[in-house]
Amino acid sequence: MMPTSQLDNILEEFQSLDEDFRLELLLDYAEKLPALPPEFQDDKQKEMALVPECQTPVYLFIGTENDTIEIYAEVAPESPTIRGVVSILVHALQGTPVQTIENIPYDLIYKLGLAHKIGSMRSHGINAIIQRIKERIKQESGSTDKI
Amino acid sequence: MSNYIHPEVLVDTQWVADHLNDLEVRIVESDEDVLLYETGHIPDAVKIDWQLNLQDPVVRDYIDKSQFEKLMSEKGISNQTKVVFYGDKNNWWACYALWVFKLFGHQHCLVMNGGRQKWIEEGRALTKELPNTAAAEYTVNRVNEQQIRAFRDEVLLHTKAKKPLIDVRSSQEYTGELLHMENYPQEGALRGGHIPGAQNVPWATAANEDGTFKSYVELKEIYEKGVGLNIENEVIAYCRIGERSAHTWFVLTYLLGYKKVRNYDGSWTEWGNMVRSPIER
Repeated sequence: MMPTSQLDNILEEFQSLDEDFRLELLLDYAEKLPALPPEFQDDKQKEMALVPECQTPVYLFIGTENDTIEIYAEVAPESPTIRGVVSILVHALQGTPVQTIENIPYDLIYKLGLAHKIGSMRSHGINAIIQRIKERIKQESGSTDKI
Repeated sequence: MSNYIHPEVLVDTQWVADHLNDLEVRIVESDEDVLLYETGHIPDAVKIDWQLNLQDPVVRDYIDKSQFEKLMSEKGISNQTKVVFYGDKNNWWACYALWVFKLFGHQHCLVMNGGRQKWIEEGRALTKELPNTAAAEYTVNRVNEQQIRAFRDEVLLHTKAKKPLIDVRSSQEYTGELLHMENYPQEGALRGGHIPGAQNVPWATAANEDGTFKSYVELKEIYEKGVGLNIENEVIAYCRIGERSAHTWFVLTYLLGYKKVRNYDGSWTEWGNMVRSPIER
């Protein structure tokens, strides 16, 4: 049997909760996004801001070390929903084999059981952001450069 | 604030701080981010979410009269309550919520100038504690749709009559270069461009860096000198789904005193998808 992955654990954590508590759990994730290590701070401005119109910059630093993913991110606390989702991705992927990225579902928000609680329009938008992050990770983890 | 035509609709952060225990006042936070209120809010403020509370979950429309009455009752808002809206992103969603309240004819609607950002920058208190709201009595007497909401057929007549339309989206959306706001593909349309005759004034042009509204003189410059509106005009504002344009509706209606401004909430997600709707690029 395959060992349970970090992603599976997170999905189970959300799904086992009553719907009303899932947003609280998302907020917990927003709060536990690890701080960006100081060595990345200077390069932050060069990184892409994923949600420009909404002034919600998502800074992502991705690399691979021995075929495992190293990922760091920073998202403004004024955008806790996006921050929570990015934190889920960081927790699901950190230190896992590069292929793990393929397991991130295209409709993560629905799989987490958050769609009703967030609203359908927001859910679609956030799923789109997840796709962009996923593409970005795939692109960057394809290179053997160290971060 | 005194130069605005209706300065009475704006209150500053100090006014809100002074009225936290005023039983005639209910503070309403309305944000784009569904979790922001939970990270801390003005003491005793209630949350009203534009999507989860104000929109019908099935039909593309707002909640109906009885659902609005129920929501008001639950939030402790009576017909006489002075409702002070504030929120994130230059009060974008606060203005949208205010517009929906006006659809249901709520009389006393105010905006806290500068919104969440200004309150926080001034180091004022936030709390995670949920307010203890006693249920209130609420009756919707008159739905105000005709005066402030425009539907597609009316927009078509409006454009044929060459009356002014303001497209408040980004210039790339206006020119048709982008089919949707970046990262909002679900709010896209099959065709890009704008409604014929519409002029482009991105909504946030009306806001200062600190989230407050620009001065009366600056707003006159933008909307009158800039795109030639005048106070006698019948104006329709639109964006993608009617939320950014609610901000412009607020500015034109209250700060510049225009009497005939409507928000076309069908906006580009309706217009850009309709068969044979006229489009300009």
